[in-house]
Amino acid sequence: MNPYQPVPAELVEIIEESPTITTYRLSPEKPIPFATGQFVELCVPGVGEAPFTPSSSPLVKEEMEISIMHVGEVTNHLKEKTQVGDVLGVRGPYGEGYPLEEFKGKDVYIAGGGVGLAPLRSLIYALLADIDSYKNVRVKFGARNPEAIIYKDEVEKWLKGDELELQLTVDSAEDYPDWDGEEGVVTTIMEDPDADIESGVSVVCGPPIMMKFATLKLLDMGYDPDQIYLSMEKNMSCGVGKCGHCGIGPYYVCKHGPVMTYDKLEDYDEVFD
Amino acid sequence: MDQYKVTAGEINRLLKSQAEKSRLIIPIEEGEQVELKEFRENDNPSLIVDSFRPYDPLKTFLMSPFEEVATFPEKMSEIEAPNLTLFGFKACSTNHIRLLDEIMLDDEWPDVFYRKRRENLFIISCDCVEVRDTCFCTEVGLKPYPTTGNFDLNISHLNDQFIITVGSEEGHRALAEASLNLQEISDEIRENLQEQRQEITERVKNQNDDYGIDEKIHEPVRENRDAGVFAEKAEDCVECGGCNLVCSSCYCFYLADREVGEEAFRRFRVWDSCQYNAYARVAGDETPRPMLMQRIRHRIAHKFDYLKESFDYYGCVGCGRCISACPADIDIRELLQGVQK
Repeated sequence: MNPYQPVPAELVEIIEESPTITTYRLSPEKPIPFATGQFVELCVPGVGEAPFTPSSSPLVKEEMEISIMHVGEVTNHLKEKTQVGDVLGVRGPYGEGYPLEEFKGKDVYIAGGGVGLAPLRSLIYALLADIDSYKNVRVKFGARNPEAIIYKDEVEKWLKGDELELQLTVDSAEDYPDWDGEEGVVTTIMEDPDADIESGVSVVCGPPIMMKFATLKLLDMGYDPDQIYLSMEKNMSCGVGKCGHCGIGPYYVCKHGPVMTYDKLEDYDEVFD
Repeated sequence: MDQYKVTAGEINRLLKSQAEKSRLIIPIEEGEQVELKEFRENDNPSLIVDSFRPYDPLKTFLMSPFEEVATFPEKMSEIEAPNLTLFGFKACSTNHIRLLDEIMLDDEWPDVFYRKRRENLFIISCDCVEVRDTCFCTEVGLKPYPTTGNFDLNISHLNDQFIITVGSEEGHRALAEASLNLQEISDEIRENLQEQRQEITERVKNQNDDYGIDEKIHEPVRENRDAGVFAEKAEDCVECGGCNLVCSSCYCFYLADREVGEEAFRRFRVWDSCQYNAYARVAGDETPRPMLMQRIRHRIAHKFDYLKESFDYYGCVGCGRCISACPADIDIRELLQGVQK
């Protein structure tokens, strides 16, 4: 099979999540089943491609959702020029996702920031589908401001339910007098005396700067580097470990990641740059 | 590996036989360079067995600098990769194929274009008899004659004789098909060949003595990331990427799409260089290596630390093409020397 060949995928729904983040629901010509945490290359014909981890449940095979922050050429084109009914291209899935088998029976401690909730939503769906297999699932999520919190309906549902423990914070609520939750970056709500750190696992996904400080916080809390699962993001062109761009030390994020434990990365600089 | 003695005329016969069933590329001397060209019937190619390595890297024939790899929404048809015989590449070139194979032919997502060309490639390599001042294969653990396989036939020129070493089943078949007059070689010839190879190896070693490159160069490369030599060479580097493009071992590329009508495009695999500022850039214009010094260090670290860790050999075969190509006279040996300080 040609690894560079995208599969045509019809855009069936566009969901505005926040002023800067949109979810695109796609129906590929043939199903592209993925494991949670794996990524796909989403292609806007004639414009280019970019890597994204689907935000939808890995249990849904016929369709996938991809949540996108509009910051680059491909993503801005999606925002400005793409409509329901358009045909995009998808290829993948690529790389290593979250090792759910290894998570079983353990405390799962998740820290997310901003658009980082996209891959984490997929993970949360996967965990919820089999929630009795995990000890406790705790999610600490931070957004820039209340408006920037995505998946509001689901967040609401998770907050109300008792299957997982979700805590939210915003960097600043200055212009949002209705916000009665926590204020401060995500690391400020990451203390958790009840978390079983010794035999647990932690997961971090968010912008590079958030990942860096959340990782440092987790280390500080007592997690070992090999208990910290990072969802890495680098320039990924081929997606299949050949083109070289996503290299960190001897690893290619597209092939050995995107989910990688921190012990593999800690000796290399540029990890969070 | 089987070895036979043949005459110069037999080598010509072999090439003509190959030319009948495949495209045949041979080296020719062009001024101070060795260039490559298509074999024509009246050529007398055995005369240029003695040269040093050709200017172009062998990878050009396996993954071209600019190649169509997909079309959308209609899939492109499978590529044609006619049989190809490469004659005259040296051990540095055949050595680098193991790295390209490792990267391009992984089990999960092999590059089908590379695979097709690789399957249809026949390599007749030659021992080095001449040494360029840019050659340093001995400093990266290699030899100026084949040691790591990846050739079908290898030719060693020894006085007025030619020794053919068979490196593959296809090599045996080609010899049989060309009905060459193969003669057994004596122990004396074997010894003489060993001596000649030793001598040329010493020549490469001697001309690199001054650089004093450590046998375990990966250690200082890993440990001495703040070596001043990176910033020093960044002063001279013009970021042309030539070092990567002519490199035997570099394989980086990017995928570029060209719009061809509504929701349709052609996709090309284009060689890329880690020395370019945009190489590792992500959406939002961030890049992990904004400084040229960091990119030069990345090139060295990838070749001598990361690939060594992954595959236990260096991503450099000492062919010296990057030294020849650099308009700023940056010599990779000086970079390695500087890292050791």
